[in-house]
Amino acid sequence: MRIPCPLCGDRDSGEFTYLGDATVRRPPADETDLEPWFEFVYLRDNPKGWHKELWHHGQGCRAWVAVERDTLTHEVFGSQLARERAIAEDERA
Amino acid sequence: MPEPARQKPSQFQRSTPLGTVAAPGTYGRTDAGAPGVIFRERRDIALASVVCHRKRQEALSQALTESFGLDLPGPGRSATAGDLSLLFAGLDRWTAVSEGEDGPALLHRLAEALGDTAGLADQSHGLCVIEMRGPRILDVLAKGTAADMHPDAFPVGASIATGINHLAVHLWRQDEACVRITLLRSFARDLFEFLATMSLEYGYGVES
Amino acid sequence: MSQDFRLAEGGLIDRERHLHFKFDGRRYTGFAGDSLAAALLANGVRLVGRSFKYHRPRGVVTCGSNEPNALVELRTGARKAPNMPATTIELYEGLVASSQNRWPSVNFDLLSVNNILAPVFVAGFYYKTFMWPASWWEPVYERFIRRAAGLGRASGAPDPDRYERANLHCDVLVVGGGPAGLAAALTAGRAGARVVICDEGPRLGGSLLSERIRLNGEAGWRWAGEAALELAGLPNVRVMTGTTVFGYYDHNTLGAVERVGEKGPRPPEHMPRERMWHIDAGQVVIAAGALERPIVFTNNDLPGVMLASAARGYVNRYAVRPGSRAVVFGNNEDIYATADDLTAGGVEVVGVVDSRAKAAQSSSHPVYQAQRVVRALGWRSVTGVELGDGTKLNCDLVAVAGGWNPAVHLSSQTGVRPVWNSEAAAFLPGEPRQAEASVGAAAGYFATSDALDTGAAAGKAAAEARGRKAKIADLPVAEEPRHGGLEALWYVPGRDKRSFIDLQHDVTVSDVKLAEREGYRSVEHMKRYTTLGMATDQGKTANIPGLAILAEARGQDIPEVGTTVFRPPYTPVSLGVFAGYNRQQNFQPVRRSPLHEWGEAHGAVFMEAGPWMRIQAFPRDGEDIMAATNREVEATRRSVGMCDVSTLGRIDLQGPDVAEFLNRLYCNGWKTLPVGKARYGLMLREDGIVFDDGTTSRLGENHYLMTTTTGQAPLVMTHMEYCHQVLWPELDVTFVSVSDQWAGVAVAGPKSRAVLQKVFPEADLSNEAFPFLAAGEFDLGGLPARLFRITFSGELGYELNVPADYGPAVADMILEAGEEFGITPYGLEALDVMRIEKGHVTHADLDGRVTAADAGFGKMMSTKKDYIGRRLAERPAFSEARRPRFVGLRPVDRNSRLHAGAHLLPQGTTDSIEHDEGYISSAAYSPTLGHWIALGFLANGHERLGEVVRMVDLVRGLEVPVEVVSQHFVDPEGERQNA
Repeated sequence: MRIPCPLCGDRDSGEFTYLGDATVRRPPADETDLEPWFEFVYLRDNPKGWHKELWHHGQGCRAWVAVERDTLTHEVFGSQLARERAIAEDERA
Repeated sequence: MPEPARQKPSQFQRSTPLGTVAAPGTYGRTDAGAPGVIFRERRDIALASVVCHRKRQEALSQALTESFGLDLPGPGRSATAGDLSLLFAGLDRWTAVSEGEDGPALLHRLAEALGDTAGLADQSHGLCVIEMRGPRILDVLAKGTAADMHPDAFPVGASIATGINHLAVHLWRQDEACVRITLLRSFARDLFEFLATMSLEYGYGVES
Repeated sequence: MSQDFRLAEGGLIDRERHLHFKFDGRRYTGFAGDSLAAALLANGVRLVGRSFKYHRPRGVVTCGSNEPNALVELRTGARKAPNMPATTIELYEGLVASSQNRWPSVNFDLLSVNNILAPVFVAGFYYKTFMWPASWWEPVYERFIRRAAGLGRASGAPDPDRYERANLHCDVLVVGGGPAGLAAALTAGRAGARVVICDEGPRLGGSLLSERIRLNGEAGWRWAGEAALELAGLPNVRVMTGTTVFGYYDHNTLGAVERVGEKGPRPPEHMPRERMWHIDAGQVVIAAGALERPIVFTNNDLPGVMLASAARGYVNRYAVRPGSRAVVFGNNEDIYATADDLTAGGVEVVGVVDSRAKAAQSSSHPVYQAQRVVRALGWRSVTGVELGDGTKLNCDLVAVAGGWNPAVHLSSQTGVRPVWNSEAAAFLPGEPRQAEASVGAAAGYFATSDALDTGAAAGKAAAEARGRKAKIADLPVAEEPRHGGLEALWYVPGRDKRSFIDLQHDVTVSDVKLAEREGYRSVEHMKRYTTLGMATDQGKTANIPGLAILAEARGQDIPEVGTTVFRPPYTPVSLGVFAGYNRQQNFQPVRRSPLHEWGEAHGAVFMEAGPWMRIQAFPRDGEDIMAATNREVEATRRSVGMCDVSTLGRIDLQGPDVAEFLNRLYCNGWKTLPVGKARYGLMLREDGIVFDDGTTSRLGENHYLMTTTTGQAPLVMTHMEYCHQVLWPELDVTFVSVSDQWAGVAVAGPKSRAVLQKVFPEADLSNEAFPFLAAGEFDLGGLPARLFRITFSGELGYELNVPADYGPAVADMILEAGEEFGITPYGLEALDVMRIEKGHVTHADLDGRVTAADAGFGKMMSTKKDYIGRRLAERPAFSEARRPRFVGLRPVDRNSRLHAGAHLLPQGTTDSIEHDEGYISSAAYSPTLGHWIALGFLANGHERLGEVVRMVDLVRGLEVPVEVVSQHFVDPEGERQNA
């Protein structure tokens, strides 16, 4: 399996480690209700088809990468640095 | 940033990561002429990590150009000016490499030039540089890394971060027949033993 | 021995090179270029093994890797490899092989009594028979089955050879070196694409080597040789023979195994036996050919019954006569070419049995039109056949041509279902899902001219897809015998229990029909119930006939029944080559401290701790580890000791937001830490459980040095990168691991200050100037050194960091400075004893279930800031009174030993899980106190000091009353460390 790293190009998946769903968001620091924290830490969808996932290029540039992928066909659609997405969301907010 | 040590630490004997494991000599297949690979542990090189601060890449790039005549290399690349090279090492990260000075001196030089654009750390002892020369180096490396070692994908000047036999390494292709591997010193002996085993069929030499 | 069945001329063998070999202890001679099977047949050896269940005599059936019968044990001793197809073993001088699954000999096999008992061994026999009593399974049934069934035996000795893995990247991977593959590789190779062409055989050519095909008026193998030569000369092309592409995975990555060292009794010096290739291909051209299939009839497993293609192959390629009198039986035109080739090879063809009503060509052979072989005659090998009309023909060879199955294995491994084609009466590759194309016979183009055309076209398309300008290679004009005209025939009804579909697993027509009657009607169920296609040959000759017979039993067509899915590997792959370099001492990379060789020089004994080799202790003359450890602890607490702590994780952080970053990473606060001081920090996971701990020192205004535990260092780094890149990119902080830059030496004990004062004569190390938790940078004879007043042992102690290469020299300097105080180097065991005595936690206690409050750090958890783990650490379950809390434990009888892993139960209860109240996480003999002590977690333990509970260790059969005490056994007030 090959994963496109935005910095290093296509690399073997063995250079990466997997974290999981890249679309979950840590609740705001002042969120005192435990429910959203519980969801953030424990609850994950297990989608068939399109999925956006966090991979860490640990044997490489050490970037966290958000990869869009089809869990059924394993086709990879693209990737971006997780940081860029986080900055974009931060600026939007 | 403390001043570089003026007094040379001559009273201390310096050990090396490979130590006695890399004993000079020739090994493996010898009936095919010259060895396919020559290994050399480079301890005469100063290394420092350069990590760019948030939103300071332009300033860092400018400081490098002004002070050293170096262009900040992009992903997978390196840049050299005089005795100083800068290697891409990862997200926001480069490794500065220089010959002919020690780690504290390099660190001091960089700190003067780069100011607060980057976090700096001496890695001259933390990283081990294994230099590989010879006609079969890319064949040996291909037994360890899944990154493409073909000249089109790994040309002269390339600096890539990848893995060899489960270890994180940086590979810098200095010229057609020379690649420098940089990795954590604690794994250096393990990696050398792996590379040496993979070189047996081509014959290999170790130089001090 | 003479080679009585060798033809006087012909074949792609080197008659100048005689090769001597041994089979079942007898000596034979063959020629270079032979396979073992060819050499055996040349010597008239037809019986090569016994079958799996019934121990029936078996001979060579095929000429390639699809062989179900002729499996042998190759080599002897530690290098013995079982289940090797004799049809794929290249003959070499000194080869030794033996037949399998027979006792005492292949000619006289006692267990062939199973053949007489055959009616018992029906489909599902094991499931039905060995059901009860359950207690008999292991002692009786399993032993019986193991003896009676099974294939070859492994050597049982460690493999003395080396294996390795390697990576290959290319524009175009061509799988198969027959006419289609050669045409593809030539076309793409001439266009400049990076081409890799693999073939499982020792030379390129495929069918051109074994069939009577002429290209441009010459023998086909000559053209193949020229093509191979041209390919080998192209710098952008890599030719890999003896290399099987066995697996096709996601994103056009494929696995191949190269048999580097199988050309002799042992691999050439400095070479591995096998090499695993991980191939990244831009485009894949599958030119894997087709596999001939049999027609099933009664006693079709007798030695002498073989596939027609194999019979032709032995004559044409190896100049071997596979018999003397042959009957050729089949359902397509191939039978006539077979009869011609056999005749040319000196075999008398006594009959061509054509199952079809009409042949497309006339023949000079005696033809039995619209006839079938209903059974083979003979006991140990075939002596004749009986036709449907009762005609009996005497023969010692039956060549069977049932049509061809394209090798759809690789394409279907990509998840593409093969599609039934009724014209070819075969499954063809489905619509590709990855960048691949099947060509030639693998795509159902059985004629050589079609194979060349489709191969060249695919080579051109593949090169162009990779940005090359390509043009179709000049292709030779092919002449070959007539193909096709197939009228499907799968089996000839007869004695179904003696009509074998899967020769390797002894699955008969009767088994498949029984499976269908018993409800295993799905092809996947039938396969598993009968084990059809589940042997090492993966049913290459058996699957499609099995499917057809199942379809008939269900009264359906083959496409309605479907086919089973092909999975890697295409042919068996040895386990050693998967492990490659990573076995035994190379199982995982080993990490060594900069003081490793220093430790060796000082008599250290090492132990594995994760990837690290760490110093366990420094035993002196005859001491065991425990005695050495006790001495090291005692000396350190009395005077001074030193220890290698280089393995700790060290992370250098810089920037204006470091304090804020630390605040969010750790549960305690960092905004007030002054320059020149260290602070203990506790990191949680987001779920509120303790993740890691260590001290962080502030070296400068915006410069901090974090330490982590040895084991968690890489995970902490990754976690910090996650936090910085994904959660808080707004923080201006840079950080980098400097773990390896520094050698770390802990100097501990009442005399440690005196020792370090000698090392740093100009520094003021007094308690006032450099108190507990002080951190500073010093010059050590020109070296930049860092000194921290931190301790893990509870003694007055320091940690000195110097650039790693100078670690050994500085360690010796400390030894020398401490000599007058009797300084004692100590290892990990002594370190562990002292931290247990002091009540410090390590990963042994923080095992991923423990909260900060459980470990006694509840007060460290800030309520004034956000940090990782804060909210879920506050969940109600974590504050339940019954949660196990960190305590110290000591045996009531001070002579008793305590064990980590033992459970804690109240007095007066039974040893059952409902009374379980906790466990011991660390235990050690304390030389300071003179008895065993332990740390552990006990329900509401903080409130139970002084209570006696039971330590129950069911593994060791122990029960010891223990007293609950404070975890601080030594110096609870910290007077020593603060002195």
